[in-house]
Amino acid sequence: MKTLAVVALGVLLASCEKSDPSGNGLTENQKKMATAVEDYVPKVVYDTYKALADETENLYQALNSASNQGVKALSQSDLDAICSSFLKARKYWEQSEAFLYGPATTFGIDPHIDTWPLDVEALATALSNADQIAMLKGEDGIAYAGAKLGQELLGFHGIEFIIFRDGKNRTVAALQAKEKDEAFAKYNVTGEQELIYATAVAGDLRDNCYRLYASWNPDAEKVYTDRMEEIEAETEINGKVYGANILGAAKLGSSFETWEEVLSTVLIGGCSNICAEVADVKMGNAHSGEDVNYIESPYSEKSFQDFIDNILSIQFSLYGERDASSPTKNSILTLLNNLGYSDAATIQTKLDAAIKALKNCQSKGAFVKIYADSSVQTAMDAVSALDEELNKAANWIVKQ
Amino acid sequence: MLNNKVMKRYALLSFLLTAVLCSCNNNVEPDPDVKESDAKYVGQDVGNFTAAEWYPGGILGTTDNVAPGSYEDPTPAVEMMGLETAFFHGEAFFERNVTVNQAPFKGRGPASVRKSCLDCHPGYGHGQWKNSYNANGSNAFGNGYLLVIYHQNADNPNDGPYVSEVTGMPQTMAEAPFLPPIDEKQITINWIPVGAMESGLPMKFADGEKYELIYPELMIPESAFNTDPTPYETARAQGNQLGFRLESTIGIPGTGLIDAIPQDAIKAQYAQEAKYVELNPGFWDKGAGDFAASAYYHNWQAGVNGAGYDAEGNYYERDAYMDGKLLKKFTYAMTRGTLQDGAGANAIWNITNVTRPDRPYLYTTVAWATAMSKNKDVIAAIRQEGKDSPYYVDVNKDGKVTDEEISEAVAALLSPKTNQFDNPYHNFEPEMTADEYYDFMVWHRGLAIPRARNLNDPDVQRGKQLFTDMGCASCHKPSWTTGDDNYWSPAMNGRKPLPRYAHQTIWPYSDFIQHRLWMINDIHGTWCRTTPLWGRGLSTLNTGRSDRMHDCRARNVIEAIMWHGYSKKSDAYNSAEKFYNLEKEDRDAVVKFVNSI
Repeated sequence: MKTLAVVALGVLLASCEKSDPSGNGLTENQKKMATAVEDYVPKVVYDTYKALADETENLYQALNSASNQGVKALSQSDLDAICSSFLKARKYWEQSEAFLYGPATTFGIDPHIDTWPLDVEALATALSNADQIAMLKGEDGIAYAGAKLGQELLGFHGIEFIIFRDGKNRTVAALQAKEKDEAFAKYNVTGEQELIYATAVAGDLRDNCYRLYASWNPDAEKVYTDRMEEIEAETEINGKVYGANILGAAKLGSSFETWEEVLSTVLIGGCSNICAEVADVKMGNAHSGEDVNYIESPYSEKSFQDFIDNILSIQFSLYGERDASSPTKNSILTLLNNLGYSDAATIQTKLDAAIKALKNCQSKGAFVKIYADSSVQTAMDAVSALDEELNKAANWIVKQ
Repeated sequence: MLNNKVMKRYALLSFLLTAVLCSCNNNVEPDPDVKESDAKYVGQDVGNFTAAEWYPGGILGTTDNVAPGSYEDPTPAVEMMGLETAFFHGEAFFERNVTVNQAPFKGRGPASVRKSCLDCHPGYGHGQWKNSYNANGSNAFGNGYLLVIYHQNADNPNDGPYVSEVTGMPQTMAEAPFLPPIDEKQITINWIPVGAMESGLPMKFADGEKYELIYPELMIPESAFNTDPTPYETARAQGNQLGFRLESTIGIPGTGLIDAIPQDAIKAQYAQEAKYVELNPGFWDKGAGDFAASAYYHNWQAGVNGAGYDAEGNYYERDAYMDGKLLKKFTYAMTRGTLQDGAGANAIWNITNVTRPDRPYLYTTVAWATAMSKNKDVIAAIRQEGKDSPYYVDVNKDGKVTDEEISEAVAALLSPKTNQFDNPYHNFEPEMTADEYYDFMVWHRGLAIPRARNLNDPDVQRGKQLFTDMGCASCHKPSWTTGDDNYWSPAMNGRKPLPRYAHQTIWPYSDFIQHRLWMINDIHGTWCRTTPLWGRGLSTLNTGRSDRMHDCRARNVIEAIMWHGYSKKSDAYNSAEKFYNLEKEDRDAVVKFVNSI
């Protein structure tokens, strides 16, 4: 209750302050908030989505090439390269999860490309169906996959199943042989069908990641916007690309009436939400024993890396630049400091602690194997503590 | 350690302290020169709003979070009762795809309406406006439409009994080798512009600003039905026409609070409104000044599966709770009396067709089971699969399985009358456990309503005044006070607690009574429950769209209001006409108010 009383006092004092009008309908503090967001949107969001879009294109090309040359001609280094590309794309995606608000949610892209668990039984049925394989291999295979397979067979985890097993890259020999997963026992499915499927799904993944980028950045390059036109994908929400909507905050036509709303969206709708997802759902459901089947990335055994990348997504959002290792001049964390937020340093402490706790888990083994370990509870608590600080900061800044 | 999402209501708790401690003027005046964040005013009296109106769900039911994702938050009551773990596990059932046989979310089919709750409730909100019906594949996201198929009454094409050949919520999905009861590729939705209002109100305001109204025409041809007989055949035999309508899902945050409104208070509201407007005789007996017998809810599950406990742990046989006089108040058609046997409790079973210990029967029809049992391709596919198929049954135990036996097993096992866990053909296991269902109900009853926004804005305050002056608040009743919230819960949950919302002042903006708007191609049944308006202004932020009305025909607040004035017979015509006659500035203020509460 001590913390609650402190927050309450903050509310009490803040509510007695007078705003400082300074022309253009913005207070000085609102102008500072605008400056931070004007860095955050292009340097964090656009840059992350562009990296994701480009890497998923690489992944698609690599799988397409492997599928075209045939599984028998595939070398282990080819397959390893595909796995590396997958993990890179996966990293960029997980590092984007602190801004799932906007297009990722509105267009349903998050569930489209990142639903788990994979429905392995349905996959076995699909890959044993010659007509379906022919459709996936055909000229419109990507569109067919995107529209017909359903979320439980699409996205990262479908591809993950094909190219990883037991936490390792699959061997070419295993891919060339009859699929051994028990769901496939009564079917004769090999890497040939699996690569056709993975290629079409990777194409659909690529298209959706292009869409994320094109739906945020009003200046997205032609290669992305042309593809959106080709597949007739909507990129505007209520007549605007989302980045333009945010950067136009406090102006007519934006859904954000104030810069405080934008900051609240970034800190709570973005950063806090992924904290809650990591602590309560991704780790919580398995660790609490509510459902041990509910484990993401079980084939590559990269769950902890996913969680770490999620927290890095928060770090980059706070630091003002993708891959930043310290706050930039116009970052949100710097803004909090400059506005006099007394607990800004605590955010940094909790951020570091959350990453450290997750790395400690990672050093002990894969989540699918150690989900019941006490270190997982420690990590969950550390992520929740970060979440607590993010909410405190958000509640403070919207009153400045 | 406090839970993450619960942190977002910190300001709510701080409000309690602020209310006691704050030395500022109680009534804070916003600065007119700058568009300020409303956060500085939360929890304070502002203009014609009381401090409590910032918290539409009361102290126990409101989240202070108004950012994207705010519809997903648990109520403070969830944390206070220590139910977070169950809440977040229950949430997973809502968010994830239900598969055929892949744990943990398994059991879809053999016929189903959707594979994911989230498809119909994108961002936990209302379904989105669409120009096609998609349940299969990946384009289903956001398409929250349900098909309504009925035999049209001669005197009102909007009314008439549901057809019996397909389920009340018709299914367009099926697992191999079965065909879906309806082939969705043959369904068409045409959106028709309204040329002129039946009431005579022009399609533009006096200042020249235009508005556009559209309504859907749904068509499902006979060839789309994989049932025996088809609904068309039955209609021809009965000498009537089939009617088709769309109904969209509604938002789900805050619904637990509605369950906590005392029935006596709702009865007083019925009695009050009955003085001025005709109410549905199926709910209110005007002569007796009391609820009609058909207003009371009778659990749809027979026998022990209809039994339950109240929040105090008292056991009730089916229909013994409240002496069998629990008022129906959920869904457009007001078919359900309690959230714990309401739309969500039902949907987690019937939309996906996932059985559970207290739901041993499938959501199907005999007409579909019959059609599948006669389909040669279905029989051949089962024969090819052999004993791996549950439908490959040696009925007479002679060591051989004939096509006739497969047909008999299909007819029996697909029938809604066959207990899936106890029958002579194949006994399936429950697909959702009782514990999973309990967690799901904790989540469902535990969803918070976000706090109000911008109540410090003079335009919003003006909008509130106009909303009241125009009579909108007569049906969109702003406030209720919850009672003891001694809720009913299915016996399968045992005495395990659910989030409870006793003695809260809440602001849902609904009377929970049905009215009629008499729109063209109106809702099936004509009567429709007044939609709660709380939290809907955050729809764009949470879901990307802000469509309103039962079939998403209104794409914004102006269209929704003007549909209330489509006919002079509408219960809301006078209010809509008053809105029509407002100056633009005032119209905008009303819209802003509706989007802020």
